[in-house]
Order: sequence, then structure tokens, then C-alpha cells
Amino acid sequence: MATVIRSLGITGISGYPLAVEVAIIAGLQTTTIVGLGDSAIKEAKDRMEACTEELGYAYPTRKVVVNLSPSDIKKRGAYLDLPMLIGMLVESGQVRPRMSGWEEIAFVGGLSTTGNLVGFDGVLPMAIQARKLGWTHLIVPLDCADEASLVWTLPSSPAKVFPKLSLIWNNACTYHHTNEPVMPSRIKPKHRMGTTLMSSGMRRFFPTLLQR
Amino acid sequence: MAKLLPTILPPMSEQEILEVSSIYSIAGELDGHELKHTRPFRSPHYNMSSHALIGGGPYAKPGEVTLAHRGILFLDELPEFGRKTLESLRLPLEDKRVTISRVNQTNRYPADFMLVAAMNPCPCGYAGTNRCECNPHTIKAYRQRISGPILDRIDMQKYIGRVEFTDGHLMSGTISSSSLRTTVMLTRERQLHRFRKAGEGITTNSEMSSTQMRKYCTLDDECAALLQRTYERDSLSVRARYKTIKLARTFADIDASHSIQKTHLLKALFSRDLEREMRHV
Repeated sequence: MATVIRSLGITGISGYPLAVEVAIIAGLQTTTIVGLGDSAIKEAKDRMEACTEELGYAYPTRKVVVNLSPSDIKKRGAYLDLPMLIGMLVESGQVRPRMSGWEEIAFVGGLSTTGNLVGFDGVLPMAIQARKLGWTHLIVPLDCADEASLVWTLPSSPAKVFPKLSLIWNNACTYHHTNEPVMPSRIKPKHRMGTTLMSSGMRRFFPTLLQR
Repeated sequence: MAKLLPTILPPMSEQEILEVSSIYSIAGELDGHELKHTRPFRSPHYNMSSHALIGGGPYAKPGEVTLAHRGILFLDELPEFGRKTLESLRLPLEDKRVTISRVNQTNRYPADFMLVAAMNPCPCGYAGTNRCECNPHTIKAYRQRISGPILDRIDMQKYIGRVEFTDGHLMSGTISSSSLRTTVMLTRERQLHRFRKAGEGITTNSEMSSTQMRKYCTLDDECAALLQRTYERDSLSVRARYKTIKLARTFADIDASHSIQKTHLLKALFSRDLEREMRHV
């Protein structure tokens, strides 16, 4: 069965929920990314392959199909690299979620071939949308962490969670909300909602969710 | 002078701050450490293309009008802008948003901005003084670079005289930004109060529909006759007429006057310098 990873896209000036569906099916070793992605998204397959090797995993030798749903909206940018990679690793059984509820985590971020996460433009509308949707967990590259922290609180580092994914997590920041979602209208001006402190909260939370 | 405008505008609401911050985030111009609390002030160079102004490209990106959302779009040296660039402002000025259609997608970007523009009176810059070397034809050609429909959409056009070296009072600063801001906020408060009480769902005079204008902008016989005369003499457009009345309503609000007095209407009528001059050149 295909693996579905939660993510977000941008249309106009607001974010929208997006699902990255990864299936590994019988066929020659190829990777197809469907769902009206631009060339930056199509190129993600090479970044994924290089990253997988860099992180010490094996790229599947069968056909990898990635669908970016809703598949009739054009997508641009490289911020879907991370959810695609996580989806592929979970789908190929190289990373196993130990607990139910891990599907609630939303991932956004670009990858470099060195196995690091890279930031992108437009994380704020995504973070706002994620809160509007009542989502409770969001993982963004460290480069974008300041921007996401404007509307998300409780940041912490997901590092050391996945020993073999540490290259990725060294450069990531996770946010989670345990309380009721705060609608943007309740955010006070001139008041920053959160700080990018690497607290131990997420470290406690994250290892129980995903484990190799 | 235009750069000081954001300092006299009321602060943004929470919703507006998030809107503006989102736009800047997408454009990659957000200073990552805080939301954008000050109203945007954009002053693009006149060499810009219409796509840069409105937004666009194969994958539509927000343009300057969207980056000026809830703030000021300042076009310095207005006649130097390309005709196509200027004309593309027509729709966003009316709709307060831009819709960019591509084969596979349509993007809507908000563009609720205040347009402020500056220009010289003539190519040499001295029209109105004896130093001017331009002939009437050159002056007319220069001013005609701004088309009627664009001029029509500009609520206030004022001729600002030359600043003399001896004009010391300009330096002493008789009116401060904060006192002006208080006036602006009080005036907006009056408008908001009026519209909220009646449940109109709008916040400022400029948003009034023609029905709402009939309700809130009643003119007495003398004012109506004055407006009629000017309307016919200067052959104003219907849009210009509506804008004049709305402006008169705002002048009345500044004075906290319940009805529009003759002085308010006169002030509004004297706020279309350029258009009036164009008709008589």
C-alpha cells in the first residue's frame, strides 16, 4: 500500500493541504513524480537518490511513483523533497513508524545532495494554513524555523532521533501544538509567538513516533 | 514626502499583518525574525515591466501591486513609466486584487494599495515660472503620457509649488506625523462607526457603493448646483464625480461634520488640479 505523507503547498498567497503519496511498484528502476510539478519538483528524484545514498540507505530497485495530490493544481519549488524522501523510506520499509499517529506530522523542506535540509520561500502562509487546519505537528528546515515560529510555538530539535537521518535532522526544526489551534486572528501584533529554542520537548516526543 | 505617508496611516490589524507577512514570505522578502508590522512602502523604478508591477511570469509571482498590499505604491516620475505598465494598473485600482490566468491555473493576489505618484509639470520642470523653456505642445505631449482613465482613477491631484531656498518653515516642521496620524485615525474611526452602526460591512468612504453614497453623502441644493456646474464645465467623468463626493464626505469627517458643507465640497473640487489643467491646455 502506498505511503501518504502530509505536506503543504502555496496557491496565491495562502497555503493549502497537500498529500505526497509514494508507491513502489513492480517495474524497472525509475522514479516518476506526477501531479503537475515544475522542473524543480521533477529534479527532486535525483536529489532523493543522492540523499538516500548519503544517508546510508538504499534506493529502491523497482519503480517509484510519487503523486502530489491534489494532482490538478500546479506546484512549483523544491519544498516537497523532504516529504517525498520520507515517504520513499517508509514505503520501502527502511524506516518504520512504530506508533500510530505519525501520519499527523507535516513535512516541508528541500534537500541538498549532502543530505542536509534547505530552506525555501513561503513557509509563513503554510504555517498559518497548518494551524487553521488544526494540524499539530510541523517539520521545517532550520533556515525557515524563524518564520514558522512566528505562528507556531513549542519548537524543538528532532536531531538524534533517527541516528541515520541525523544529517537531515541536524538541519530541521519541529513544531508541535498540543492545545487547541490558535486562529491567526488571535495572534497579537508586535508579539512573537515562539522562539526557536531547541527544547527537549520534541526530543521526548519524536523518538517514540518513528524508529528505524 | 511620499515616504512619510506610512507614518500617518493607522497601524495594521492582526489579519492585515498576517496577510502582508504571507505575501512577503512568498516573495522571499520577509525578515525571518518578525512579522511585518509596518505598512509596506514600494517605490519601483520606472524602467519596470508590467509583469513586475502586476505579477506574472510562467509561474505567476506576486508583483509590486501585491507587495504594496495594505500600504503605499509610490510611482515617482509617473510619465516615465511605460504606457503598458501604467495602463495595467487600471484593473487592480478598481478591483483591489489581481487575477493572473495561466492555462493550468489561476492565481489571485490581493492588491489593496494606495497609489501615490509624483511628476514634473513639464519636461524642463519649471512650468508655471518664467524659467520654463517648453512650448505648449511639448507640455501637452508630456502630460498626455498619463492617460485619461488612469488620471480619472486618481482621487487627488495637487500641484505643489517650487520649494524656495528661504522657505524655512519647511524645516521647522509645524505639523508632526503623529498628530496627522491621530487625525487620520479619528477620521477613520468616524467612518467605521457610521458604517458599522448601519451594518454596511465596509470600513472607509472609498469603499462606498452608489447606493450607500446616496444614503451617506446627501448634498444640499447649493452644493448640488455647484457640483453640477463644475461637472459640466470640466466635463468630469461619472467616476470622477463619485470620487469628488466621497472625498467631500472625507473632508466632512475630518471636521466631524454630520453633513457635507460647501467648504468640504470646494476642497474636494480643488483636488483635481492636473485633470482640470489638462482639459484647458
